[in-house]
Amino acid sequence: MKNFEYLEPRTVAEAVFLLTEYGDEAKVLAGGTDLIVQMKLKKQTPKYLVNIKKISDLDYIRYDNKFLRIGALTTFSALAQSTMIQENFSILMDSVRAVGPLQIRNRGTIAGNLCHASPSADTAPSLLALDARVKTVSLGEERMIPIKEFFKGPFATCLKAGELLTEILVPSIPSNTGGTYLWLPKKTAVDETLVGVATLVTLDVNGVCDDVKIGLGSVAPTPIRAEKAEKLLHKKKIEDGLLSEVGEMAVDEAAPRSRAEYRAKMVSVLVVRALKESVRKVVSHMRN
Amino acid sequence: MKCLIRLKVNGETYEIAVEPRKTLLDVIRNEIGLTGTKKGCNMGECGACTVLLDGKAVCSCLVLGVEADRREVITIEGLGNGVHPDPLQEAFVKHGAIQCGFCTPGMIMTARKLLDENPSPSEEEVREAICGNLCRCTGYVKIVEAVLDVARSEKGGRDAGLLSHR
Amino acid sequence: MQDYSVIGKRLPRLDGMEIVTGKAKYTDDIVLPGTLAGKILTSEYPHARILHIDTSKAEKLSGVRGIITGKNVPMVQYGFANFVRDEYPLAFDKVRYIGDEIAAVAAIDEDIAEEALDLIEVEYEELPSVFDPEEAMKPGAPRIHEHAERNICSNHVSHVIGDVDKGFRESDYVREDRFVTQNVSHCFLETRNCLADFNANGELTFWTSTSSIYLDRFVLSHLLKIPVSKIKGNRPFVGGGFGGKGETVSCQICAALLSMKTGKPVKITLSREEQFIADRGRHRWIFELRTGAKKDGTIIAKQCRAIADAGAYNSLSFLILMHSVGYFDIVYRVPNVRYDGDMVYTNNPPCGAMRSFDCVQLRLADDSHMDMLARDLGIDTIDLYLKNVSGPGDLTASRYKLDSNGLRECIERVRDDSGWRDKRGRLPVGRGIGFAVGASIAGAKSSNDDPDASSALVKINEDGSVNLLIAAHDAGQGSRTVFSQTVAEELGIAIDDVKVNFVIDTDIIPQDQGSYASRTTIGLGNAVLAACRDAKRQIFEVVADQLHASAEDLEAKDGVIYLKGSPDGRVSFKDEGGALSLCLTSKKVVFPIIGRGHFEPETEPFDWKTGEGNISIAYGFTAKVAEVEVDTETGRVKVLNVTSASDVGKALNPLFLEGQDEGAIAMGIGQALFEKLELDKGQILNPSFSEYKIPTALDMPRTIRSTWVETLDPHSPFGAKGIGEAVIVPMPAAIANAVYDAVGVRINEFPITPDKILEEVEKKGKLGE
Ligand code: FES
Ligand code: FES
Repeated sequence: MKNFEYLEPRTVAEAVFLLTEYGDEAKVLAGGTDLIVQMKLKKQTPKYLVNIKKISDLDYIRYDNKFLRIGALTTFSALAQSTMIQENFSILMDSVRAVGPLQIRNRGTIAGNLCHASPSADTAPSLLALDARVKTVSLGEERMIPIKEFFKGPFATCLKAGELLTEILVPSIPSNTGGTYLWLPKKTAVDETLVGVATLVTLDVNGVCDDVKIGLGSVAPTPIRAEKAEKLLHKKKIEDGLLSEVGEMAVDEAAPRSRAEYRAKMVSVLVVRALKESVRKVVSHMRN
Repeated sequence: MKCLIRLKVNGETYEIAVEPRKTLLDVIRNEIGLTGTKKGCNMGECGACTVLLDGKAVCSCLVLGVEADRREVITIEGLGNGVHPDPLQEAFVKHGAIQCGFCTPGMIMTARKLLDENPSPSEEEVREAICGNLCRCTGYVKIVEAVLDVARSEKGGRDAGLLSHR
Repeated sequence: MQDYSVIGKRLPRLDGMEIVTGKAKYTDDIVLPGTLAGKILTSEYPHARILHIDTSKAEKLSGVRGIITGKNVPMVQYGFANFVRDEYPLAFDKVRYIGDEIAAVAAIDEDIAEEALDLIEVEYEELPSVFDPEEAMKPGAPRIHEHAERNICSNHVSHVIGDVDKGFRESDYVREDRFVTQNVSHCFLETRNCLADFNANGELTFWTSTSSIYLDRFVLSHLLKIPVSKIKGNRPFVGGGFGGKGETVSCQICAALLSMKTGKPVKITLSREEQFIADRGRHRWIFELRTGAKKDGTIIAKQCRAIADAGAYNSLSFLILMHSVGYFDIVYRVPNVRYDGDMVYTNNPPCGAMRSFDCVQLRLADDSHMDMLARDLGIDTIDLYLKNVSGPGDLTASRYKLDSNGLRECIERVRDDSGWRDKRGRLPVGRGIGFAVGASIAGAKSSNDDPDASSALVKINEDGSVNLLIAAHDAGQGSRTVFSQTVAEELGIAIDDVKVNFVIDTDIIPQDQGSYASRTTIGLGNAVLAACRDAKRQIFEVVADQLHASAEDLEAKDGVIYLKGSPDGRVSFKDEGGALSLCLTSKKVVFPIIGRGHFEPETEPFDWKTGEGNISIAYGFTAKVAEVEVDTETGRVKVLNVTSASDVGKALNPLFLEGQDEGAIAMGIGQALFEKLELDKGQILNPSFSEYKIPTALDMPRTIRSTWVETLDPHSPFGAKGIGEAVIVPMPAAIANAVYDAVGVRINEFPITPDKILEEVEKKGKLGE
């Protein structure tokens, strides 16, 4: 690893000040599960490393029935242990479960995972389906960025130099809605995600689709929404024939690079499976 | 430039000047001299370097030494020793859950954490918990057996090891 | 069967507490004051001439203490097999693969050494390169070594028995298949390393993670021109080997050279990435197989054309090719056999020895091929094997003497234990069951210039406790414990009274060649047994006087020495007034009583042109059945359960045998389904555990049944045979055959990935048969 200067701000304001001061030469350290590896590989060689973990009020999970708010320093383990998330945002919980083994979950943060902007980040498809947004702070400015606009390319976000992501906001899920995240790992059970699909389905009392959101991970330069596929289901009853059409449409929207053919096939398989599972969840919920 | 850190490892306090680029793993092994924690990949991929940092299982190769300032670390040496072993340490020997032994310290730390949080895990839960600890020798069969065996015998009041005193 | 007191028991490892408490020292855990960190600069080009190396900038970096290049290291070639030595410690004229070692730096810490590498400037002249062995054999292909025409390592191998063409003519049915296997990496968790310390007296002390500390000492002595008496090798605990630590390699030599240059201790520990590049794992083989059979399944002729990619240096490749010949005909009785093989140099990273010496690839191809043949003939695969299986006492076509051979029993056992008869062909689509067999040498033979000797010392102390001094290169197999069991059994004492050394120090521990070729059980085992007998004889002579008997008529068991067949003629081994008290007062012996044991297998002729000759003392056998589930939409394979039976000769410690088998099953699953070193123009694309994946606890079958067949090999202590290698052999093929059974497709290029399964399923149009 190349040497660097290590900084430990105590407040968001202090962190933002340092990040502004050092600009591109600074990197934010949160859980470190991605960044430290990048630094060892010399793919990142920051001169200043700004450890934000000493900022006291960034580790929280709150829900006020309108928004779920997740502080930037919340680890995957904390998310995994939240019964509130399990009960109200099970689609997000599915995503959290897809993240690494215990040791990684104990360190890695959901915000750090988003900022690393790997196309295969597991929480991204669910957050896309949930229409989440992220709150950022920079010198004298706060922004609220829809997650859809957050990713700009592989490992690139719209964050500007000096801007710090402080919170993730997820709007509450309407009733009669079921969501699922399904993923296939590249090779072994514990592996980077090859294809990840999140679906969120809202049905009306007749079982007709009021709203559908489909988030795809690892099949394009960034995590994406499969909006054309979503439209096919709008105000329709979900049936097998239609489902495979939706799957095919999602394939069209994806643009995988390596193992492209297989990945494409898996998009349709997982979209169909995830939609079925989401519908099953709504229906069983309606019955109860 | 070195930073002065103070950390507690297995109950002992150390004050050490470290370069910020040195990982906790290197600090534990090279500065403190506790070499039970192993370096299998140095990239957070094998779990051989697993220690408990403020009670959480982490890959110490992905933590900077400076981040451990004013924090508490427990390594395999702190879990038990030849005179007062942790039940898991004994079970690993008894069940043949060790071969070359290079994955063992990390594996035991992860398993200890599991049992502290979930005293009666199912086989699947054990496998899930140790899935970040690679072992090339054993096929994990006897490791899973050893952990389940300790879970069975610890249920209903475990003979408190070093860890639970804290 | 004889009944034993200690042998055959499920005893835990004697060094277990050291390991689980973190006390066990591995090489990287050993620190000498003032140790420098070493790092090696390697080639970025697959094939290039080195025009100039400028180390001046690196030398000026603060903290750097010494740099060596090919110019200032001994120009002595080395290599494992003495007839194909083709390597230098550091490349000096040209580099032959991406990773070829060029220079090494010693600095006050690893980060600085790494920075220094970036400052070394190497000027190359790129040469044309070749990466495919079939291409490399063609006329006009770039020549990688001056001595190797058409890039063929050593020589073409041709083994012919009977009349193969006639055999095929007389067959009712002939099948042909082509298979290509992949490069697989050892992935032991402890990377290779060496700590070397050269002192003022011209003595070199080194610590290293190795399967053969004596070989390392020999190579260092040969290269550095230091007599072996002045080289002290230490082998501390070792974090896995699987065949990949049997060869002395650049990082060990460079640590020694850097220590000689700087006068300070130097430690080199490969990073995981460096390990993947320097690893020397399994070869990529191309097998073209042809088998002719009668309608009833009798095999008349078998033919194999094998080409393997050795990579840039020979390493153990040619020797592996030799074994491949024998492994082709070890499991069957076939009258007509032809094997043609070439080991070919390319500009890929070199390959070497890995668990089973590549028998696993050969059997993967051949057992897949035989499964297809059985299906073509309408015969159950297991019945086809039983019809042709080799047996005890056989002399194979390659002249292997199978004095003990329990393969038939292994096959029958897994057939019955797995429920094969009820399941084969009867499972629903997506579920399948597959079978395969395996074999391996279990020991080595000496050849004229390469003795394969083992020695042991047993020291009996005046209190009756015993020190066993052996060079057991235990990397988890449990050999230290098993040989302590051997001592306890043979001397009739408790295992707690036996203390065995955990570290091998070449100054004091008697020599053994190391753990490869599954040779330890028989080789070192016989030496330990001989040492026990030597010590026992000395005690017996004293006791015999007391009992007015002859020493030959005495026996030791359960703490007592007694006269065979006479209930009264007995003395306790260590109680007051017993054998040891007698020895203390006797003039015939002095304490400690030292027993010396030595074993060297007979030398047998071996033909390097044909690969024929009895290559080992004994041979281990195994059969496995795997059951899988294939997700027909995603192509993902889950191994549900594995049933295994192995001819181990005699189970010395079932706990360790199970451990070997279970570990091999994991490794075999990885090889079958996902492990592959991805190469692009000689560059490894996945040199990390995040990209080169090995099985985790979640990838393993939840049910594994390991059992043993005991055939009591005549050459071995208690009849036992080493099995660590054989057990992996059938695993990939059993899975391949199970996948076929599940979804009716055959993948001819390994590993069997979901992508390929789906592609084949689609081509075929429908699932099942
Ligand atoms: S050494 Fe830290 S995970 Fe491998
Ligand atoms: S025992 Fe060797 S890696 Fe686990």
